[in-house]
Amino acid sequence: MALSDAQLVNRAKKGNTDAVGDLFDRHHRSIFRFVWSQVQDEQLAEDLTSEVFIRMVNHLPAYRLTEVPFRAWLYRIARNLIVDQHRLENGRLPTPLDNAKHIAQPGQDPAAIAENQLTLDQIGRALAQLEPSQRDVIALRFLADMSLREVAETLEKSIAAIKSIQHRALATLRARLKQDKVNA
Amino acid sequence: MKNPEESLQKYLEQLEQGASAADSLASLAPEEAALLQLATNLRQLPMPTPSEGYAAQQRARLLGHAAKTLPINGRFARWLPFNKWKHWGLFPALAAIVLLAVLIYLIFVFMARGGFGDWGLGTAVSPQPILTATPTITPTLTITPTIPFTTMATIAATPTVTTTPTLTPTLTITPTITLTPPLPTLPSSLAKVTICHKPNSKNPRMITVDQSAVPAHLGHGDTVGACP
Repeated sequence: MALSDAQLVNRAKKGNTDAVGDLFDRHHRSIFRFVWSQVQDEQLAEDLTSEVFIRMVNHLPAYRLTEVPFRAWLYRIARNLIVDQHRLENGRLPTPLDNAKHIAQPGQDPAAIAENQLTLDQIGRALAQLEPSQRDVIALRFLADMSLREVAETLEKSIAAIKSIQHRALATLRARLKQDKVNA
Repeated sequence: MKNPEESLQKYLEQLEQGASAADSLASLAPEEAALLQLATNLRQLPMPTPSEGYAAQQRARLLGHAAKTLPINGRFARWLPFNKWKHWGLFPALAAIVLLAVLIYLIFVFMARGGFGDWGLGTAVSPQPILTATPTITPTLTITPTIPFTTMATIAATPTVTTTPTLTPTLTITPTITLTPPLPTLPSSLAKVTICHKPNSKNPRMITVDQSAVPAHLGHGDTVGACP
């Protein structure tokens, strides 16, 4: 039976490195996706994802499960890291992908992708034009598959506020995507 | 009219719980349905994944870092002192506190013993004179000859006394020693009595006889004391 995040965290806090490995296995892909949605650079996303887990280990002894759920805490680390990265780049917003590409997973129907007309390239460009809080909500809610409550805990906002941002973010993203299609 | 934010969230939750997207979209206003469709598409979007080998490489790196950073693993780890590297930073602090305490104690003792008095940095304390008596005084009483009475004696001694620094002390031995020796028996030499012996009333001569014989001599005409 798989251990919960809380159980793994407790073991890791006692020095169990296997538990640290399990936490990495469980969360590194979703963290990578979240980071990618913010920086739109796969190599940079990999580097930042690694750094997220290094910081997780560094801060694990001081982390209290009762204060914030582990997943929300981990995404806060990722978000702070991304903010630091943006500061390093003099506040420059992440740039859209230079090399547009349609990514199809094995077994995925290319026709479905074509029908939806939604590509990473488009998403990257549209996300880059959103306000940071809207981009955070879109990334956490729909790319990292977080619940509304988890997003609220991660971003330290109320659920009502997240609902509002979520609605505005989707509306803005839709407008940007439409505009992108017209321009294309 | 229902709040569009609440409405959107409600349908998103229904989709998350496995409801049919088509049903949800059909029951929404076109604008809201478009947002719900976008949200669904975002979730189905094939996202990039970390490159091949990334997970294994970073996992190994992370475990190495965790082994150095996290507490020592084990049943009795909690009883091991300073089992986290960062706690080693406490050692210099503790050592500094102990050294400071020892230093303060030594300064206190140093000042209490006169310290920097010679340089005017403290109050000098009068040194305690160290008395050395030479020789060790062992008074003895010798009475010659032994006399048959209670002896009262006052012993006064003037010993040689060396002090550091040099002082001129007056040494008085108190109390006055009173000795009460047992009454001695008079020796026979002291029990003799000089008499003037007159054996035939002629040629008296002075003799010394035992005290016990005095009465007999007095009975035949001898007299006590020297002959005239």
